[in-house]
Amino acid sequence: MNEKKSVETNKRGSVLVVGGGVGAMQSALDLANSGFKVHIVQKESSIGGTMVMLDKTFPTGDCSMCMISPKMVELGRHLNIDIHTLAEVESVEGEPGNFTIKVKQKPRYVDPDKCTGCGICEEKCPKKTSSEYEQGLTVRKAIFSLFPQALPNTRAIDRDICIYFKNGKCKACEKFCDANAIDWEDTGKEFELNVGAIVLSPGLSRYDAAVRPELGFGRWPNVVSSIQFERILSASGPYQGTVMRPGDKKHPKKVAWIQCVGSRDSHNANPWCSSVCCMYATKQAMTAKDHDPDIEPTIFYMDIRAFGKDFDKYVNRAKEEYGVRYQRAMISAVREEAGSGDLIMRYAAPDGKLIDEIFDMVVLSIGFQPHAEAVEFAKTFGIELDAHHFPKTPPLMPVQTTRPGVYVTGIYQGPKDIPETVMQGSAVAGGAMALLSEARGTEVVVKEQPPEKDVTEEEPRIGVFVCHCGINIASVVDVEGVAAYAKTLPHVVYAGNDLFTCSQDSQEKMKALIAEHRLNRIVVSACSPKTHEPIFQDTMEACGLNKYLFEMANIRNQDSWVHSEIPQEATEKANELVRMAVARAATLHPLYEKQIPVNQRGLVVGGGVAGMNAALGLADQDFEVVLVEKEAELGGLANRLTATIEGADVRDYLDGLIKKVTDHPKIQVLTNALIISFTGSQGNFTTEILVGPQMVQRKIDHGAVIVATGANEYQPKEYLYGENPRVMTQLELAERLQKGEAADASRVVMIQCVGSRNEDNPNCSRICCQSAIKNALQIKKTNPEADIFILYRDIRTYGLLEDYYAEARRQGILFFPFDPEDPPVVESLEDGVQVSFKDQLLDRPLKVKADMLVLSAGMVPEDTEELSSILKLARNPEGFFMEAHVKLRPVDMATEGIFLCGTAHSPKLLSETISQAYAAAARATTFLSRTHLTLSAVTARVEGEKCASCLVCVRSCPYNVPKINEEGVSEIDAATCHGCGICAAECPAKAIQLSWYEDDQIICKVDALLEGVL
Amino acid sequence: MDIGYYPGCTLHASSSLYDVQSRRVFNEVGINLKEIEDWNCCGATSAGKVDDFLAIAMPARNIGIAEADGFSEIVIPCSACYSRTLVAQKRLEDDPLLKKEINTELTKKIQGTIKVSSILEVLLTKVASGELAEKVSQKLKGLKPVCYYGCMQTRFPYKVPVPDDVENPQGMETVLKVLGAKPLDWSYKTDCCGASAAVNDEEAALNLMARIMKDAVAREANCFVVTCPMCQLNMDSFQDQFCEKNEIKERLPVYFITEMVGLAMGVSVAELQIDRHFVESTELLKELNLI
Repeated sequence: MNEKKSVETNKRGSVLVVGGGVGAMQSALDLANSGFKVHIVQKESSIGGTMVMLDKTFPTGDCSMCMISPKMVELGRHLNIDIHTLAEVESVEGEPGNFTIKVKQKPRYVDPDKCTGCGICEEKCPKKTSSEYEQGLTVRKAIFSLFPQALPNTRAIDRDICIYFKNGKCKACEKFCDANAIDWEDTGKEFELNVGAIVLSPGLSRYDAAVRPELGFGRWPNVVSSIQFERILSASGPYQGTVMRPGDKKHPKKVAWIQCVGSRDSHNANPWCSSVCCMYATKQAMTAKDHDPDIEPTIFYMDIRAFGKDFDKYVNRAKEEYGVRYQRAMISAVREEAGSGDLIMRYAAPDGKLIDEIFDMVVLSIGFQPHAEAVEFAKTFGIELDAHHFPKTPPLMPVQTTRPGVYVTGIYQGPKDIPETVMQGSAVAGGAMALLSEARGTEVVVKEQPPEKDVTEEEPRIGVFVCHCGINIASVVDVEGVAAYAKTLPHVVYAGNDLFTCSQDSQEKMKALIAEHRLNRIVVSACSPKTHEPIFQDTMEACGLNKYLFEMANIRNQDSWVHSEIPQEATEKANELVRMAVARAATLHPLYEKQIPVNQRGLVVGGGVAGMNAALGLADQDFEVVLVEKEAELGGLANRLTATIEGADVRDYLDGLIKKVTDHPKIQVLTNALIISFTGSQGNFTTEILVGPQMVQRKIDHGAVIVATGANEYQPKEYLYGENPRVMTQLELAERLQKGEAADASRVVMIQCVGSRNEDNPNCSRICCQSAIKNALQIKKTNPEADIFILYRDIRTYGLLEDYYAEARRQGILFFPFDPEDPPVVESLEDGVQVSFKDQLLDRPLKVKADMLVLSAGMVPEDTEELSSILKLARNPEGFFMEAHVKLRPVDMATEGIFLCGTAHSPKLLSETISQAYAAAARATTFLSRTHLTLSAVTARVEGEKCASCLVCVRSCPYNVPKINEEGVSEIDAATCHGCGICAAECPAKAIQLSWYEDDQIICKVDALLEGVL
Repeated sequence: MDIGYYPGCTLHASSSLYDVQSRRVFNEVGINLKEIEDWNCCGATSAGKVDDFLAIAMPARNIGIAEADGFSEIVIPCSACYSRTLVAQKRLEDDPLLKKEINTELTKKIQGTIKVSSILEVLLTKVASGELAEKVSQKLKGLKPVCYYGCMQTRFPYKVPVPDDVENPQGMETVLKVLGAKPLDWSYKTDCCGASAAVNDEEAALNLMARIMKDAVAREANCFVVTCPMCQLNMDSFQDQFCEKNEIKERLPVYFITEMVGLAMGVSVAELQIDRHFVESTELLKELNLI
C-alpha cells in the first residue's frame, strides 16, 4: 500500500485526468497506484470511451469489453480515484504543481448515493430515442446508462426528451424506483479541484461519413459505418452478434470494406491517416467470417498499414486462413441497386479495366478527427494546437504540451491503437509523477482497518443474505423462501433478505448483524462476485472478519436473469446455489496476504534512448537506478541517427540526454557490462554483473527491472549490398547527407521492405517508409532537380506522418508499388546501378540507372538469447521480447516486476520509444513507490512429502514459478505465483493445493448439490 | 422585381417550352425575367475545346451586358450556360489581367459583381421566404419524381462556390416537397446522360440513358424532374429508343422543374406546354387528378 505522507511542499499530490477512455484509465490507475490522488472529469455519463463500443480487438481477437471492464471495476473501487461524470472543466489557473480547476457538473437527476444500478427505471421508461452507443441501429430510453457495463452504473435522465421535463407527465422511473433515487430537483453542481498536474485524454471524434453522400451512408440502408459494424458484430449489440444487414435483416454474403473514408484526403475530409482502420477492417472481416463462414469479405484499399507488432502476421492470416480478399482500388461512389438493396461498386482492376461488382453490404472504414470543441477545449487548458487541431507536442517528447504541467495522451495526441494508447497513458502518468514526486503520498486515502478477530477456534456461524436486487431477482425467484430455506442449512445462524444487499444501508445492517449473531462466515446470494465481492469483503474487514471467509451465490446472472420464464425452477435452483455456497463457506478458513518489503532501486538493462529515458523517469522521482550497458558508450542505435522527419536534431538530443544521465546523482552507469545471473522476485531481485574490461563482479539488489536492449538496422544480403559502393541503407544515406556527401546524386532509387515482410521476418519494421521519405525530402532540399524513385509494397506513413507522404508527392518524388513475387532486379553498371521493375499503372517494365540505390533495411532486435534465458523472459520468433498482454499490458513482462520498452519490444520511432520508456518507468514506479508489496493470498502450495518431482507442475505453469528446491521437491514462491491453479489441477499426486480453492472447498459444493441424489 | 435573364441558345430553340414556363412561373412569384439584350452564345462545350480564351470571353461578354444594363442578378436556366458563365466570372475574379484584356474589347464592360444564379437558386429563395408555398393552389399529391440533376449542375471545371451539395444535391427535392410531391432518393442523380455524345456516339449515350431509366423504374418513380435542357432532351426524345433497346416497358415523363411549379400554381397545360414532350406527359397528371 502507498503510505500517507505529510511533506513541506507547494506541490499537490493529486492529478486531474480529463477523459474516461482506456488511456485515461491507465493514467489514473498508474498514478493512483503510485501514491497520487486522481480526479477523473468525464463529459459522458459513464467512463469507457471508444473501446467499450468495440466487439473484438486486433490482433488477438480478445473481446474488448472483457478486457476493459476489469480495469473499469478497479478504477471504480479505487480509494484514490474520484470519478466525476457529466462534468467538464470550465477554467484552469495556476502553475505546474499547483493548479486550481473549476468544474461544472451537469445534473443527472438520479442520486448516485441512492441508486443501486438495478435498471428497473430504464425498463419501465416509455420514451425512446436513437441510441448513440448503438450508433443509431436501435433505441435507448430517456433514462438510461450508456451501455450495460457503464461505470458509474447510475442512470441519467436525458431531459431533452424526458416526458416529465417536457410536459409534466409520466414519472414512471420514480414510481418503480425502490431506492428512491430519482431527483427531479437536481441542478448539477460547480466545484473546485486543486491538483498538481493535468492529463488531457478526451479522445477524438469520428468522421461523419454522411459528409460524403456519394458513399451512401444515411441513404442506402445496407451501407454502414465501421463503428456500426462493431455493434452489429457484438453479442450485446442490436442484432446480438448475428451478422445481418440493417435494410432487410438478410444475412449478407459479399461484404465490402472501403478504407480511408474521411482520412488521407483534404477534400471534405482529413489529410492524416487514422492509423487503425486497416487493422480494424481486417479484424472485422475475420470476425464476421467467424460468425458466419459464408461471408466473403473484400477490403478495398490504397495501402495496408499493418505496421505494428505482429500486425503483418495477422493480415497474412486473414488472407491465407480466412480468405479475406484485398483489392487495391478505391471506390468513388456506392450505388444502390433499386429493389434488392444490394450495392454496386465500380473500381479499376490492376489492368485498368472497369469492373462493376455487386455486394450485399458495405462497411465504411471511417477515421478519427478532433472533437468539434477542440479549439475551445485547448483554450480552456491554455495549450496550443497544430494546424490540424491536434495538440502541439515537441517531436521528442510527445506527451508534453506547450503548457508545463499539462500533458496529453491517447488518440487526442494523434490517431493510434489501443496498446499505444495504454502505453501513452502510462507515459503521461510518468511525466506527472516526475513533476510531483516530492508530493507523493500527501493526498492519498488509506483504509483504516480494525484488528482481525481470531475465529479459528470457533464453529462456523454462517450468515446468509439473500438479495431482492429490486425486482431483478425477486420478480422471478421467491427470495423470502430462499432465505427461509437457508435458515435450515447446517451452520447457518442467520438468514435474511435485503432489497439491495450492496447498498450503503445494507452494509450498515450487515455490520450490525455480524455483531449481533457473532457471524464468522458470510454468504451473499445476489449477483456476480466479479463486480460485488469486494464490497462485501470491505464490510467484513470493517468488522474485523478475514475477507476470505466469504462466499457468493449468483442467483441473478446465473439464475433469475436466464430462467425468467420458469420462476418455480428458478427458485429451486436458487436454493441449490445457496446450499452449495453454505457448504463451501463452512470449509473456509482465514487466509493472509503476505507483505514483502520492496527494494526501491531500479535496474535498467540497456543504455540507449529507451534505457536512458526510463532511468531518468525513475531517477527524477528520486529512486536510485543502476543503468547497465553492454557497449563502452551510451546511446545505442541513436548514435547513428541524424534528424527526425520533423527536423529535430537527434545528436543534440542524445548529447543532452547522455549528459543528464551521467550527471544524475541517482543514476549509476555501468558500461562494458554483462549480466551473468538473475534471481529473486518482484520487489526483491538480485542481479550479478561483470563490469568493464577487467570484468569486475558486481551484485545489485533491486525491486524492479526495465529491459531496454534495443535493436539494429538489418544488414542486407540482397540487392548488391556490400558488393557495390553505390548501394547503401537509409541510415548510411542519412549519415552521408549530413556530411554533405551525396549532394550531387541526381537519380536515386529506394527499395522498401528490405529484410522485412518476408519469410525470415514476416513483420513490418515500421520506420522505413518515413525514413525513406525523410531522406528523399532531404535530397530534394539540396537538389530540387533530383529524380527519386521509391519502390514500395505499402507506404506506411501512419497518423500525422501522412503529411510528409503528401509533401513528397507534391515535390515530384515518384512512388511505384511492386509485388513481393516480382521484386525489382538490380544490376551493377560502370557508372551506376540499374534497377529494373514493372510500372503497374502503365503495365510496362522500366529501367532506371541510379547514382545511388538506397535500401530501406528493417530493424532486427539485439541478440538477447543469453540474456533472455538468464532473466527467464519470453521472446517471439523474431527475437523481440513478449509482453504480458499485447493490448492491455504493453510494457509489462509476464514476470511481475519486469518491464519492457523501446525497440526491444518492436520497431518504433524515436518519439514512440521515449513514450514507451516513460511508460515503463511509470509502471515500475507502481512497484518502487511502495515500501511493501501485498501479495495475494490466493497462491498455490506444495506439500513436499507428497511430491515425486515429476516436473508436471514445472512444465505446466505459464509463469515458470515452480522450482525444484534443495530437498528435491517442487516449491512455489508465493511472491511470483499468479494463483491460476493450473499446477494444482495437473499434479498427479495431489500434492498442490491452491488457497481458497482447496480440494475440499470445491468438492463440498458438488456434494451439497447432489445431496439426496447420489 | 426585375431579374436579368439569359435564356441561351437552347431555350430559344429546342427547349423553348422551358423559356415559356420559366417566365410564366417566375411572374407568379413576382419576378419579372428581363432578357438581356444582344446576348451571345455562351460557348457551351465547343468553345472550350477550341480556345481557352474564347471559352471565357464569350460568356464574359454576357456578364458585361447584364451589368451595364443595371441588373444585380442574372438567372440562367440551362446548366451548361450557367456553368460556363459562373466559371468565367470566377476566372476573371482570379485573373485581373485576363479581365482587363477582355474588357478592352467590350463596350459593356465587366465589373464582376453581378450574382449569377441558377433557376433553382432563385426558386429556393422563394421557398425560404414562404412565397412559393403561398402560391401553391394544388398539392402535387401522388407524384413520385426522381430528380435528375445531370452532370453539370453541381460539377464545375473550376473552383467555384457550389450552392448545393455536390454529390447529393437537394435543390429540386426541396422545391418539390413544398409543392406536395414525394421525391425519391436514387443512385443516378448526378450521372451523365450522354449529353452531346447522343450525336456522335449514340450507342454509348443510349446506354447511359438506359442506366438512369432502369434505376428510376426500379424505384417505382412515376416521372423525372430536371433542370437541364440537354438532359431533358436526351431522356425525353430518346426514351422510346433506349427503352426498346434495353427491354424497358415503362415510360416516364421528363418534366422541367418549372412545369411542376406551374402545375402546382394552377397554370394550364397549354400555357406550360406540357403536351409538347416526346414521351406522353399528360396521362399521368390526369390519373393523379392534377389536371
